[in-house]
Amino acid sequence: MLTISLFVLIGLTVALIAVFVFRPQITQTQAGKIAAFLALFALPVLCAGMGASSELLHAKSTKFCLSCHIMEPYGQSLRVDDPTHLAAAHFQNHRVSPDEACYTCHTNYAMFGGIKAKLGGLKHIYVYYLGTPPSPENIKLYEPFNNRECLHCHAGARSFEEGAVHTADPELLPALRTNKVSCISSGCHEVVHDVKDLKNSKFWNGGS
Amino acid sequence: MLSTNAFDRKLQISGVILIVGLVVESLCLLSGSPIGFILFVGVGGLLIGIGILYYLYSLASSASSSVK
Repeated sequence: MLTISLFVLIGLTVALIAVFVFRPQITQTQAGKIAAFLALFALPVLCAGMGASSELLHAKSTKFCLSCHIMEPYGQSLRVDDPTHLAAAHFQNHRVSPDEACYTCHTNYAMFGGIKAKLGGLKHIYVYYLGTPPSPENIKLYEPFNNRECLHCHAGARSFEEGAVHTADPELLPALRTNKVSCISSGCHEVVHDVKDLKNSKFWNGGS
Repeated sequence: MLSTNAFDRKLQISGVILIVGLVVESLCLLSGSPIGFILFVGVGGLLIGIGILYYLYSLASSASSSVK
């Protein structure tokens, strides 16, 4: 809906600007000056702002992230038919929105985290088009995955706070909250995107 | 095509730059790819910015010449 209204707005703006390109003498009248200000300043600013907002929204989508070929195995890993695979279990059970699956887990839930995530995305694009991208199985996070991103949703949830494994050791939950023990550490939720073994995996074909 | 009047000519040039910028932005919005995102910001945004600044410059230069 936003995109349609944006295209209509851009079309109207282009038409209005074209009037001033072909008949610049219109600006000799007071009304012409006001219309020129709208056409050549206010409307382009509005179009650029709405366009940027639309693009940033689209950049959060799973489809956008997986549009780079290098990310395809990671997209496939979301459909692995194994509940112990963390990313697949989140995607298939809608613990994250399937339309924004990558962004939901890989953004940064600290102050300016969204901006940091966008800058990280720009770096990905730079490396993909102008650098030497690693093979999918050799892609590494810029910094270790912070439990903060998991706790953004799971903190306070009964399954997390009262889970048998989480409460077996009274020191575990505080250690998880302070990021001293990683949620994805060995023996816990260690299998996230197992892109190396996709050939041997069974896939779930349900969902959209 | 371009007017002989200096202010009108600047207005026409800024208009053409803005139209090209808006067309680029539209195409980038249609593409929906990461490279489209870069072109949207780097080319479309840049052209729109230049077009707007050139229009504002034309206003300022026209105002200063009328004061003289």
